[in-house]
Amino acid sequence: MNYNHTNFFDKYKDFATKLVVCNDLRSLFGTVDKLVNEICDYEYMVLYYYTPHSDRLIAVTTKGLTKEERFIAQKTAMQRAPGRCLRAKEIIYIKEADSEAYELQNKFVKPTLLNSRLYIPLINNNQVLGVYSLASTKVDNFSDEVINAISFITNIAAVIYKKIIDTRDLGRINKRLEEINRNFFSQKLQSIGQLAAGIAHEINTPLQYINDNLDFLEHSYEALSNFASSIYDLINDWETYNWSDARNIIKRNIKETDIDFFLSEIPVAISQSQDGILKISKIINTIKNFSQVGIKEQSFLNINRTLEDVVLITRNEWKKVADVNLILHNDLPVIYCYADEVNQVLLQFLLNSIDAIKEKIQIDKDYTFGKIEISTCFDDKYIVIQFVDDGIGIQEKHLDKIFDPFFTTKPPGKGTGQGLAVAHNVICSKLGGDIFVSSNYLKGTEFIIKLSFE
Amino acid sequence: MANVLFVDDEEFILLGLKRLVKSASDVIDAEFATSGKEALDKIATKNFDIIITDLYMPEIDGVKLLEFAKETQPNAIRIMMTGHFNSEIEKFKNGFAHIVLSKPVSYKMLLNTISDCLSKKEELLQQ
Repeated sequence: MNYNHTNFFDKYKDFATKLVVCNDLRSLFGTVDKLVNEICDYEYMVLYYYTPHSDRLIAVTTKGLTKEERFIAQKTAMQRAPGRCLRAKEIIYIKEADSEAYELQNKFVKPTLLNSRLYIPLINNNQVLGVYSLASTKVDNFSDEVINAISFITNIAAVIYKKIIDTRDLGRINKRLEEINRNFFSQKLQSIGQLAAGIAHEINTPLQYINDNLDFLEHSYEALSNFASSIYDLINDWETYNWSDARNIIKRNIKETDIDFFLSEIPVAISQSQDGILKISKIINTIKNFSQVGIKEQSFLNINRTLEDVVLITRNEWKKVADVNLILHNDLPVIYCYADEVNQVLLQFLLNSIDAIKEKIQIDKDYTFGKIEISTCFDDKYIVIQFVDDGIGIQEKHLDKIFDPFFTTKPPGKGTGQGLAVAHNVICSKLGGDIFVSSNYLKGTEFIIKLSFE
Repeated sequence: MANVLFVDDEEFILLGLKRLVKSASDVIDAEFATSGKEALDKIATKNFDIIITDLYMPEIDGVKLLEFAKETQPNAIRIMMTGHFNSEIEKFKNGFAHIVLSKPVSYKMLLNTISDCLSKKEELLQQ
């Protein structure tokens, strides 16, 4: 023990200087240990960290204890002196072994007897962060001066400790924000990937009949040109026929060529093909709207248009399993936002409804076709978007978890648990809106999204 | 003369085929169904040489339809026609369809396939 009254202030100054430069927990614990070692001898040390969340003391760092002893010390800490010290926010000093020590002695199976034991609460801003405990086999090992010096060290350590933890938490929050942003893009890529096959199918279907119709028109042209040349032949050879013969030949040719069939079918083939081309260009326009990844500027977005687009590009996903009914309020105000994000989120809600219906079809044999209703309306401040489906619904125990990142009830590889987490981040955090959910398991789900347009 | 059943839930596809097939009415006797259910009824009442169906249809899809056809009309050639990617349709091919065609299929290709089916019918049914 080299603690000395004469260099009292120098010593304290030295403690403080050495502690404040610590910027991580490892160096802080190391410095505390070193400094305390300078002023007293002890055989055992435990530094407990208090977790208010689970109301437990965790042995963060120990000295002189085996793994088993450390485990028992931590397990019994709340019932023993460390717990009392924590609750009372006061230093506890036991000069000589008492019954508790004997009791512990048995558990620890230690031949030596822990006579003096010291427990110092680590307090910052009236909040107990943990307990620092020392023990020695000697009776009354810690003098008042020593205890004062140690508590001086631990008080400073507590402040530094809190600072380190807060900085670390801030780092975590930033990391989390980065993660959410990254998730947005991975989620977006995932749903586009999921839709790509469906969109290809949606384009291939009109391509198929446009193709067939062009083949038909080619064939019609052949038939009609054959008919035309038979008329030319007739005109060129006019003298050889009388009017009645000519009329009969033309009549026969009309019948053989089936002119009436071509005359009625050609316009239909053309208009159906035009319709198909319109469908394809609409799909391509929608994909264009949805693939504006790089646009970082906010713009005015018409939610009704977005919903129509979303319904169109997902058509292949829902058309075999559900009807989608859009009830859109005509005068819906536009909202100022990143169109990219809102498109993605609304797409997600519809995909979720489709999945819910598919899931119910699998387990309920009386249910073969679902219903999805999407509606918009507004009041003086908010526009309201409502998604209602009669799919599988959400179990009550899951309701408060659905917006958690990585929470999913889908089998591994199917869902990433990102969809609603991203939706919540965009709607609630970024746009200051709100999402409400009500659901009946096996009956259906309703999501209400509120967005401010002011 | 080949009895052919065309099944597709896209009305315009069937209408397009109907128009086209008319020109081949001397070799193809065509029937059309706009749903899996309608097709089941037709398969239950009439024998076909070839059944050509879309894959994704509500309620009774192409796979279910061809399964039924395999049971009830084992001598019919089963053809799946779909707008989906090749990798995806491969898994439906095993056992259900003798031939898988990827949309869009040209009329010429369709006619060739039909005549191939008729000339190599025995070979295909062995599969």
